[in-house]
Amino acid sequence: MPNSSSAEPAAIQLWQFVSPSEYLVPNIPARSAIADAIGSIRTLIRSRGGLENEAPLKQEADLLALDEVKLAHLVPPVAWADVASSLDEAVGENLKGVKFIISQPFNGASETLRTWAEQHDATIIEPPSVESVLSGDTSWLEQFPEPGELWVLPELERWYLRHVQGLGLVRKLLNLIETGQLGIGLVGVDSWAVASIATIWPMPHRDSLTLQAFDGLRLQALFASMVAPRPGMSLLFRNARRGHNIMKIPVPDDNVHIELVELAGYCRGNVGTAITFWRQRLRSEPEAQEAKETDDNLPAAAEEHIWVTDNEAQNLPMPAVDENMLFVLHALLLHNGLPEDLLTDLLPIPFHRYRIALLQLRDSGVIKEQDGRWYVTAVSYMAVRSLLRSRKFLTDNF
Amino acid sequence: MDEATVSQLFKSVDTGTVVELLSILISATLLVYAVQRILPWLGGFLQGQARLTLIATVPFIRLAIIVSTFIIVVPRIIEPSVQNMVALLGTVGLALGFALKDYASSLIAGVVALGETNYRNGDWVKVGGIYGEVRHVGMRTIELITPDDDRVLIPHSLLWNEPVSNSNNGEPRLQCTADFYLQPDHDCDLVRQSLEDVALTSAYLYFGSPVVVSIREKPWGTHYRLKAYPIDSAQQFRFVTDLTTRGKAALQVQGVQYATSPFAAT
Repeated sequence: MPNSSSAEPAAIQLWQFVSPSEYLVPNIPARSAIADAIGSIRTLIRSRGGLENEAPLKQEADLLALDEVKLAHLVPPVAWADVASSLDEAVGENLKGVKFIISQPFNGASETLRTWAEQHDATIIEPPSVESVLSGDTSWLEQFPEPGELWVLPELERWYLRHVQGLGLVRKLLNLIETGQLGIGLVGVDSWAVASIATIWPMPHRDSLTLQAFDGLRLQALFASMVAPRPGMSLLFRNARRGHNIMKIPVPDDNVHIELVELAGYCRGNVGTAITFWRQRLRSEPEAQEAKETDDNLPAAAEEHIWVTDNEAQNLPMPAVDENMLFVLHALLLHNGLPEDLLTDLLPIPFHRYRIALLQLRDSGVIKEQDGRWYVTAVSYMAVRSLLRSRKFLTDNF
Repeated sequence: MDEATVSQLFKSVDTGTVVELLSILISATLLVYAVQRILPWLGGFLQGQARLTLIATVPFIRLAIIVSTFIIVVPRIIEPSVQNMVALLGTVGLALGFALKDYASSLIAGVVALGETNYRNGDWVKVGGIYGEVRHVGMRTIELITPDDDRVLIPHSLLWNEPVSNSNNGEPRLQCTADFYLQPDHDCDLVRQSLEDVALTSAYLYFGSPVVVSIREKPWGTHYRLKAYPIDSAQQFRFVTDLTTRGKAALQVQGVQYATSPFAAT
């Protein structure tokens, strides 16, 4: 993937779908790359890297995490309808055949595609059960409507398992797609699943789209669009350690602070992880919060300060991982989450070993369980990806 | 060589010179010891090619230290004239040559092996029928650790007459093979596809190298060889175990029968 090197034009389209070959990985500023390298060396010597000698402007312990109401106001959930509209523009009015929508983890691919399907009255093809995948049961293909009717398959990664018996169904499905027997539709697939499925079946890339990377400028525009300050008021996001301004809303111009550029570079353009880091870093002063709580009749200040802490995930080292943990992490990413009982079939390690690995990774905050499935957390995703890549595991192409 | 000639060969050695020589020898010994300990320890923090490159430098650095020490020490003992050097070294060499010819042969073979890079630290080699990982390339021997965790010291002099089989040649990966022996009555295409899928679904598989299934028909049945590369050479045995275990399970699902007639392994 090529790297972006300059700011976007003034009119910024937030959600943009492009061909995977046009995905522009944001550059990491040299300052950030050197700081990352120094931080890595420090972590070999001390347990916690990235400590600086100067006293911070605001002690993090003195700042309060924002409550959920405030966070929902500053960083609300992404409006998938907007993303679906951009997808609609990219797909065009006359969809011919099948288009693949490749998405990185945490970018809301399933939500976007389901929203798009609702907007177009398309049939949503739900994923088969694990038993059906392992048995190659093709009865799940009967969900597809008659030729000529639109359908959407949001999660192709649920149609295969990295198991000898887990490949037949997805091969049949992709063969039917390639031979045009399934009509017109959209297939959503996780980027890691693309890399994995491509080893057992040539994944078509010419009819693929992916969400364009979010560089610093686009991130700024996104964060600004999420907040609607009251008339006459402005919001100022300031670095808690040094006090400099990172972002002001309303945004006065197209200049973007290097911290947002660094965030975009660290996340490699993955908007979902960038939003998660941004939410995690926001703080407010206790006095500001108390004043609001005690007397709502007080005139609102013209400018509200929101403090932004350092990106801890970039400074914290990954916990020491052994081979078993690497296998668990890799399997979770290849399948965009897995139920625990499936790990027995997919991993070459016995139950008690991967169970220990799961618990150690959970306790370190690297993975979490949600709705009966284990996932890599958004804040750990980039570090895990980097680790797997350095150990020569198969990774996605983003 | 009379006493007068011998005395002309050597410098007068006083207490200061002795102390100096001892310091040089002790320092060189400690330096060699440190290099042989520290570099492999540092290599433990690295992965893949970086680790192998670092630990492969140990014998070269040791050789450089020994040669340097020799160059520093000799002029302090011997009057450094050409005549003296030739006379003394020739005599010593002749005596040692006869007494330690096998040792000398191994020493020279060790230097040749370094130059030809027949094997290096981290390589998996087979020498004289013994297969193992090269842990240490010494001056006279190489130290192999076998899959059974045996430590084997093999003189370099075996190089002159024995073939040396190197499975990874400085690379972090090597090819592994899982063998399957089947009754002749089965669908070869299905079996081949299944075995390929067994490799492609292995957690150990390195996708940057090919997966190959070769088939040979034998009088007793069909011999399948599933060849693939794990992510790291240290995983080779676990990888072959994984391929064999899951391969057998996959073939059982197809109802394929294993060959049971006694035969010689080839």
